[in-house]
Amino acid sequence: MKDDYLFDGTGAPDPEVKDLEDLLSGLAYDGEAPEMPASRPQKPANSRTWFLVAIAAMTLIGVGAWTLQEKAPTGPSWSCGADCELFVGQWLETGADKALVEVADIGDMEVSPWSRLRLLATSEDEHRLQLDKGHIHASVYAPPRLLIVETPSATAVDLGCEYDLTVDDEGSGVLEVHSGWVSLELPDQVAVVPAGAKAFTRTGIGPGTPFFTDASVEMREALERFDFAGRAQSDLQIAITEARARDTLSLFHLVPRAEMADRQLLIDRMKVLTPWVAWQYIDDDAVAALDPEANDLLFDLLTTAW
Amino acid sequence: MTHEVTDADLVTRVSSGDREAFAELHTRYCRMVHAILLSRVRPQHADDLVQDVFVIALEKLSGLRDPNTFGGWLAQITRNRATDHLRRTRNVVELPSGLSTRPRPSAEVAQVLRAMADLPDTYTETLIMRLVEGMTGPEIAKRTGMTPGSVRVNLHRGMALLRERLGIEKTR
Repeated sequence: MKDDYLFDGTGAPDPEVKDLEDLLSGLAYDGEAPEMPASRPQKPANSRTWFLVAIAAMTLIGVGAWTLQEKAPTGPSWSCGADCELFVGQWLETGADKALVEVADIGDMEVSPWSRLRLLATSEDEHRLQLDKGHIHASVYAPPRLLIVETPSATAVDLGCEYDLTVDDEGSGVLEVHSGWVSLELPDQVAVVPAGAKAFTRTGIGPGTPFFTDASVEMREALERFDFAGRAQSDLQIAITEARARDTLSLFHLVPRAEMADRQLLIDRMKVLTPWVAWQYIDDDAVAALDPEANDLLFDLLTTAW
Repeated sequence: MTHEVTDADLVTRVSSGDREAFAELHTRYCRMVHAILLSRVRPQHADDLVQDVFVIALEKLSGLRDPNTFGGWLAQITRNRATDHLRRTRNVVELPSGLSTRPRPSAEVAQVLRAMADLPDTYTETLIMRLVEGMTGPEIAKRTGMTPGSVRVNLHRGMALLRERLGIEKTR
């Protein structure tokens, strides 16, 4: 049957189909896979020496007067500078200077002045910190969910990336991602933040809606008011109106935060902004009902706009 | 009997830096990606864009929530990359010299490609996967996430329309 040849290449060849195959086969792809970057930083062979030199250089510009708190430590630890080891359970308080910390063998972290940080656990499966206040700049080259930073208002889960995380004296904070992804999590709330985006987090409320830093001022202000000052429908409407295609990041995160009656407005606006997305695979009702499978699929399709 | 490693397993391994898994994903999906690109951009640009698409996918991979949707996700990235390429090159004059690694297609090939590109997107992509890349219907279904029935329909309707259009052009 001719149709079988067209579908799966079996049966008697359809002459026209065969002619087209012969004509077009020269265009078929035969290239090789691009070079895959190393999953972890390719440190020089003498990386320890290099690191100590860097520490020495940084000391000249004011790094090094941090203090380690609490009892004499044992067990696994991270390097936090020359003659500095941060053990599990210990607090690192930076005072007027910053500290450079090696995050096990998966990356580096700069801890800014006046920060208070504790190493909670470190193992092959998970490295967990507690940032009570201050600021860290983390660069991690590892599979997702290996580095976890707890703050008073949310937990930052690294998904393979570089980011800044700041926590103020009240425990509220802001996350800004420079490459890869970071997820800000509480048991019932998640904000997934890609490169170029930020998210605020507030004590007692949790993570707010992530937004791209180049979103309009009106949109950013509306999101902050919506998340942390009353969830007014008028602010939701401003966000919907101001959104560009890549701001579907924010609209997607607003779905579970919005009232049921407003969720379809968000979905409809996302459809208009991303006509190339295969919306025929998306069940609006399931998304609005916060069905995990439907939301995961929508998330994956929308990421192409982010 | 050996079982093919699933895409989800490969995606997980790539996330951990496994180069062999990345090469295998590329082998599985490069023809689908190339076909989608060919349906939108000039053939001499498609090869380079395939490389771009896989690099972009690698960068975004940690954000993929369900590794089982890799095929559809990659197809969407490919369409976006093609759109971006067209936007950037809209006002760029094509260099006359053969700087591309792939020579320009013959007039006959170009005519068929144009005719296919004028079909609805789903027909164009499916036909190019079948006629250019040599993928079978079941393979197209497996890679794109479409059902075999949908692929069959796309191939039949697409081919009928293509015959019609090429027939009109051939009688000129």
